[in-house]
Amino acid sequence: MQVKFPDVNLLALWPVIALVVTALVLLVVVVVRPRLEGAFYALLTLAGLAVALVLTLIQAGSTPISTFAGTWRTDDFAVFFTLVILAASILAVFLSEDWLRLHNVGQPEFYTVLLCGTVGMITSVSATDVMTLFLGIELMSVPTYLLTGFAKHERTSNEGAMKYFLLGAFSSAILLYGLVWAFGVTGSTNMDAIARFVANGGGESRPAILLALLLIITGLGFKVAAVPFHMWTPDAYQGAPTVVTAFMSVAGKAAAFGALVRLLTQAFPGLSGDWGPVLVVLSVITMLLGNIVAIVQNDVKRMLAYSAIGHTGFMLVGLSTWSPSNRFGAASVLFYAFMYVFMNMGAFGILAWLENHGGGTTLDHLDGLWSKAPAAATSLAVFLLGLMGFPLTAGLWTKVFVFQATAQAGYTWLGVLMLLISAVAAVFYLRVVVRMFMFEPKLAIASPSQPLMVIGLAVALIGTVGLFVLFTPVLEFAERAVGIGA
Amino acid sequence: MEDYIWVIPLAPLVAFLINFLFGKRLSGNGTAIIGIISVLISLVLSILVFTQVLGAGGEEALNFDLYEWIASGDFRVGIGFYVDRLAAIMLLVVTSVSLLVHIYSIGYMHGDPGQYRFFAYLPLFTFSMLMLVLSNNFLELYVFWEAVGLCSYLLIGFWYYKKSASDAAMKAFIVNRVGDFGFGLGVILLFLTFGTLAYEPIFERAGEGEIAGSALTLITLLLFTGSMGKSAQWPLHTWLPDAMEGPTPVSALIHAATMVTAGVYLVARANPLYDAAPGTLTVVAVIGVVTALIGATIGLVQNDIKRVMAYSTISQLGFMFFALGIGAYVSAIFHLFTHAFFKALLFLGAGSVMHGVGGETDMRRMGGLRKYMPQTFWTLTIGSLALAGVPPLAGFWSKDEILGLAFVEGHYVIWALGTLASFFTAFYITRLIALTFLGEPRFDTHQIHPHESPATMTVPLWILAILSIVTGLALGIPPEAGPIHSFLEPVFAHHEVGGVAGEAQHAGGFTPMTIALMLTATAVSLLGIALAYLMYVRRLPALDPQVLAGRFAGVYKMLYNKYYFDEIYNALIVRPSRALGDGLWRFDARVVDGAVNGVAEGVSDTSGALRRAQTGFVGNYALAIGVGLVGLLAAIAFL
Repeated sequence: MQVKFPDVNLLALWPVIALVVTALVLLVVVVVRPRLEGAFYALLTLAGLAVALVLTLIQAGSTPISTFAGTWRTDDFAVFFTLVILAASILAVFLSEDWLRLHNVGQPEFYTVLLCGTVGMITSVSATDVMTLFLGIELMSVPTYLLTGFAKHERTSNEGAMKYFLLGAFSSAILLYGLVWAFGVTGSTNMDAIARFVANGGGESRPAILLALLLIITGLGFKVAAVPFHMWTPDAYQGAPTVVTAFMSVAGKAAAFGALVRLLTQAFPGLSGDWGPVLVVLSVITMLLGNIVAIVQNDVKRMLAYSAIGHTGFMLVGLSTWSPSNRFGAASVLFYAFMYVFMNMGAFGILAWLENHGGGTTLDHLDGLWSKAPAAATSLAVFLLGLMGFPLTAGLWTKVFVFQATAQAGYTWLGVLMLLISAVAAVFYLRVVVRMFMFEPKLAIASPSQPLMVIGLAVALIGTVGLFVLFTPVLEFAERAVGIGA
Repeated sequence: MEDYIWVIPLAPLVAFLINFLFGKRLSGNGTAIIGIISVLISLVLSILVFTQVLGAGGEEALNFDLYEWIASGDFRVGIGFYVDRLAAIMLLVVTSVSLLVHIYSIGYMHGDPGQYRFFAYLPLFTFSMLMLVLSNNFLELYVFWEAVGLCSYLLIGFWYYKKSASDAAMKAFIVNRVGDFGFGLGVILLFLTFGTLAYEPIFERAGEGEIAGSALTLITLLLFTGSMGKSAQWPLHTWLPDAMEGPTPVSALIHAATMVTAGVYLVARANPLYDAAPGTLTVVAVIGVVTALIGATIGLVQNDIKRVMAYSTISQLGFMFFALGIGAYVSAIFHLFTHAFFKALLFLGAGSVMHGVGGETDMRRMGGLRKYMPQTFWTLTIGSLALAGVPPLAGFWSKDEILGLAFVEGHYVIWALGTLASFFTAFYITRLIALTFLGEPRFDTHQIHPHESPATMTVPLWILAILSIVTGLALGIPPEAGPIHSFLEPVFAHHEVGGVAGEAQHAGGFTPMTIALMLTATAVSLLGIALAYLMYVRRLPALDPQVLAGRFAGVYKMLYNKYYFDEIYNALIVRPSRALGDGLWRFDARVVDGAVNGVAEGVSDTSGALRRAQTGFVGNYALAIGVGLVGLLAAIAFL
């Protein structure tokens, strides 16, 4: 019998291979030398991620590569999200190392799981076949469950992980069900083939296609934490170690958005008239709920969890305006995801920094931080202003371009609503700033040395402020990635 | 030149960052040295730029974008550089004066607790000013126009704990806002008219006559309001005298030599636009001559040494503007160049005097300082003679050119008024020297022991004094055709109307006409000096200042109170604005705040209610997902 392998172009996979190899090397090193002093594991992980980053940057300029019989495509879109995910992973290593060291938690295991999750995320955004996409989503989800429960002696961490896992399994089932419906109706798992089938609205099978679409939106809506599929988010984000929250709130969300944008705009472009309004509804309730509930939180970590839900809403606004003739909405989502890396990881990073100092994450803990740790207080203020969309931070442009997308698509009211809700969000962001700068300190903090943490936070800070000035290349890349001007 | 031009502004920026972030930990002299080194780098490179521009023949300006900052549809703006001969000469002025002021400040600011702040802001200003003159588009220009304004604000209010200083800073900022608002509108209108903000295409198309004259007139008028604010031209001149609350080196650098000349630079830079709008040029000339007279007459009777100089600056800027208004761009820049040196010299000299007598600025409590601080006396005298327009010092050549051109071009009224202003100039500056250095001490010699300033302060004075002597001789001979003209001609040579084209026809040089005008100007200056000498040094009974003040009490009081401009603005603008603000505040407190608080309470209640939905039970969460899915299905099925 002659076995015919599909054509495999390894060129497209180099970054992923680099990450997998690093993860395996880590596992081997653990067996041989289980307790290495210093930041060896972190540096090894960083080296692997750096190699992957360089390889991805090399791919950025070249022509799209489609491989594995059309199930994987390394194009500008995939490269853009891969860069976002790798940036988040690299920052995550910087932020995590000191926490792992201070809590004496297994570093090599942590990094192995982190790298596996990163591979899953890259797979999700590179897939052009719905089965590969599902594979990527699962490969991303399982490590994330593990990381959420990584502080295994803490009850909240276990609780968050368990809830996240149960609901994640539930939503994966819904997503898979939707994908199966899509396959059943169209007879293909390939996105291009599905797109050809639904080009005219689906004909007789339209109701079945719409059912598939809704199931998919629900399944991925869970992953991006859209209301009403968001319930896991506050518990998992609060329960997880803060450094993990920082990672999954950014990288996991970016990957899920990448998969959602890819599916909706490449498999179901002909139905944008149907899924657009659905996303409008979801975006409005997501923005409202996330930002309003954030107001009454006393724990800044939980507040940021709700704020993350709110940001999902803002990004959904951008995506909902997409249509084959007006693709800027998708570009605004990509742009948003990129800028969000630095601001959100920075904000969570400062909280992790405080926790490492023996502090907590409630507003009381932040009182008077300015007088005790001026650099930390200033940085957190910058990150929060960025999340708010304040000028002089990259956050301004995220809101501006989502607004531009709504204006171009004739959804100006939605853009205005978004800006109004952003103004509401200022209430809870600024409250933190006020407590830090204008209140008397209540609690003392210890000062262990956190060298890698400081580097990570500095990078996030430079990104948040620097990208305010140098945003143009990112925007142009995002536009190219979604096929504007191609 | 492209390889290193960006270092010129970058060096002071780096110095600013170092001094601002780490200055507290450095010693005072450490911050000063960092500042000095950075500006020295800029100066050396500026000289290099100058020689290269000189060698290039002056045809092609270097114009390139370092980075494209905004690219949104047709709206493209970069951060770029535009280096031609005008920019090269401005670079020299800014970096050389800035360097001398930095050196001088070592002595002047010695021991001030805010020293590191001072040596952070000064390089920041230098950076902003260099970027301003190097900009290659109007938005970049506008950004750095605001940036120099910000530095000016920070430095006027440097001693912010003094109420007068913080008030003066606020006043400078608000008055400049008025001008900048017009400037901003002008930039927007430029974009709407030309579809770009870059210099080159705008200047090319402005000369082609395709743009309506009315649009160009409006644009240039709006841009000119910006110039009026920044260069303290009547009626926006009132902030500059108050700005003297800042440290004296700041007054020398920002409020005499560089920033206040940005308005002149703007008009000169945009000369193709102004040439296409002759109506605006007339306005510029009138405003300039009015300001020259107002400044010079107020300066006659003020008693504060720095305020006299401030009004002198206003008046001299007026000279530059009316030169621009009659199309004598080169002469205006020439005067800007010489004025930068001799006015910086005067201010630094005044600072030296204040340093010597313990911070006193009232000339009525000075006198006889010549024997205590001879170096300051001699350098300040050189600066004064240059300002008064005594040959062969720098001010003579540049001012004489302006007045001479006004006469030759047939603007006799402007010539007459300008000559009158220069008579007053000679008078008030001689009065200043007489009251400060000559006669008997009018202070308590037992309490105050005046002393000469340290070398870090006197050496910059001497360098500036030498520059005040030689720049005119080197650049201004023969009149209206000196080296400065052949150097700057390419910048202004493209246009046909009036001004320089006419200038080229009569070609300057030592003609009988110019010699006659030069003699007239010299005579007027000497007359002013002689009158002041007789009044304040020889103290002729017939010319006793107090008797004269009593006889012309009306005029004297009007001048002493600066034509009541502050009082008029106070009554017409400040008080009504404050009343309006109070009214709006009441409306805000009752109506708007009430509504906002209501909304906030509503949101807070909703927020609390929604929080209770987060029960913590996984089953409830799964149910929510299911309900959401069914809700979406229902929505799509029934809608």
